[in-house]
Amino acid sequence: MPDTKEIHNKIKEFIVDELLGGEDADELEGDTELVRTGILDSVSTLRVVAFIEGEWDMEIETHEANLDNLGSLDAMTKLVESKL
Amino acid sequence: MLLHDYLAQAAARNPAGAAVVDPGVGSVTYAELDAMSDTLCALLQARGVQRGDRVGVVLHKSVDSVASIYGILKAGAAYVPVDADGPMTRAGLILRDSGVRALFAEAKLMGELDGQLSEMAQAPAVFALEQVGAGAGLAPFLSEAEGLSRQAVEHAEQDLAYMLYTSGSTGRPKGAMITHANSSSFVDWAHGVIEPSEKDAFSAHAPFHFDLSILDLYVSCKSAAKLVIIGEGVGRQAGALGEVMEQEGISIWYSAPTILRMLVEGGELDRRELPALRTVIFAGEVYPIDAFRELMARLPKRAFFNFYGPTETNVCTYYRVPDPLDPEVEALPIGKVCENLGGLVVDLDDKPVKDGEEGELWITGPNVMQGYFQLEERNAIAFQTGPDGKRYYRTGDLVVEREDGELDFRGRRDRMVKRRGYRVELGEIEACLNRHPEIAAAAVTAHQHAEKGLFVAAHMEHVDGGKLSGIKLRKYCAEHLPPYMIPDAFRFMEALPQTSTHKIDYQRLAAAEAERSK
Repeated sequence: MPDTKEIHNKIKEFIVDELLGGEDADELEGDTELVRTGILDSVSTLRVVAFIEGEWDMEIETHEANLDNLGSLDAMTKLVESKL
Repeated sequence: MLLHDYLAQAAARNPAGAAVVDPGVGSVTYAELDAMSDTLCALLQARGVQRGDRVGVVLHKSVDSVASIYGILKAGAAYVPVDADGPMTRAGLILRDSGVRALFAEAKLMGELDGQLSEMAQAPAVFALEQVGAGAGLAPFLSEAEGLSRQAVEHAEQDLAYMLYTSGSTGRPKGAMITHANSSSFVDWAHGVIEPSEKDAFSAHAPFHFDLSILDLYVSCKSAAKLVIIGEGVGRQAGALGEVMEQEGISIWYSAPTILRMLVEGGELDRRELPALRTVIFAGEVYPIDAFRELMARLPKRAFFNFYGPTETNVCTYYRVPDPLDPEVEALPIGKVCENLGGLVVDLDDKPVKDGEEGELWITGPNVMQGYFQLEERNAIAFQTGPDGKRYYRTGDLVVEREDGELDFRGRRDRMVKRRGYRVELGEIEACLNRHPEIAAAAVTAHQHAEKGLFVAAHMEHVDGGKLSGIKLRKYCAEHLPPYMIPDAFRFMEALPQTSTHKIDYQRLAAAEAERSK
């Protein structure tokens, strides 16, 4: 089973490469607010959800796709761990 | 017509009908909404709010916020809706600028807001709601107001109903002053076009500080129909949104194209048939034609409307998309000027253009705002007397009249863009970046990106030739700007390119940026 760090790093890599054009991986912290800082909008959220679903072969339910679960790297990591 | 008269009439005609539904939370009937807002009106009056005052509303969409709005209107005051998800520094700017006499705000925001309000000469009466939803947040205030009675107010249609703040190039948002007469002129027109009945269910997708909310709030009320709150979280999630549309039987949808594209891309319209949905209206930005065709294919036999208009005039042109849509069509027009308004297309010398020439669209008529709050110089530029002697609002938008009389949108005359349905002055983003102590100069450009839509890039000079990370700058921007104004990319350069007249060469920056995205 993947550990917390591995999950965290994989999601981070996706966000840095796909949404931030490869910039500033060091500055993106676990608690950085992804929606308030404009990194995630409605369309990019769909892409992150699709990535998570494909990477760990899971389904994110509609009621789970909210800010509490997707608002930061830490929150996403927790969501993935809870579903593994 | 006064906006709150729509509510009184709906409560008389359809008292037991659902007025506002917050899915999964609760709802109120028209009789209940009318009574709640009467009580809030009495409470506002007891706290000193009078006709002509302004009252802030920093609440998420909910039964509580709709009731607060009607309470404010009944007291003869104008509401000033502020983004509860935006930075509180911006909220503070708006509340101070409009000089609110009272304020409805979510308690969890008050910590940050208090500091913003302390600079006001007269502290507003604050109603801090512990929660918002189906009215529970207002309950303590409603019981506090027990025994108070609503005082008669000498309303006039020329009284301000609300002020909506729009992005300003100097970095300060400006308040568009809209009267009951301005707003109800639009509401009555839209009601005539949509022809809704008590059986309809309207979506309330746009937040209340966004002008799209005016149709949702008041056209639904005029027809005594149901208004379904689309929570801010739900509105950003295709799955959750599809579920609400289906379960609540939404029949009239109104939003920016982005949201409809999200539903298509998320597969929601393949999964669900949405039989109740009959009318889909979009506004706020250009709907890319291929994406629109995909939407139309998934929602056969619906009426589609493209509405256009700045906050200052509300909707001023509209186009009903023909079905079937000619496969040759490359862009949807913004249509014809609404029947209750007048329009002119003028050249750079403010003279009407010849047939088929591009020019700026000017609008006159009852919808047009009174002006920007306390910005006389800006108002002198915003309005112009036309050749017919009427007062016109200059939209700043470039259009061309086609042979069939429909108007095509060609872009902006200045540096304003539409992003995710919001109006954004690139200058406001620049002003924010220029205030950063390590940034010597900033220039912001925007171009259409094939996949990402409008792509906003910030180009900057650092004070000592260094650079700041994109994340740091995003965090900094998030303290001052709403998410839709935060650039997609941050780039540092030794010196910003200049034109021969030593102005920032935006064209060169934009061209380089467009080249990068290829």
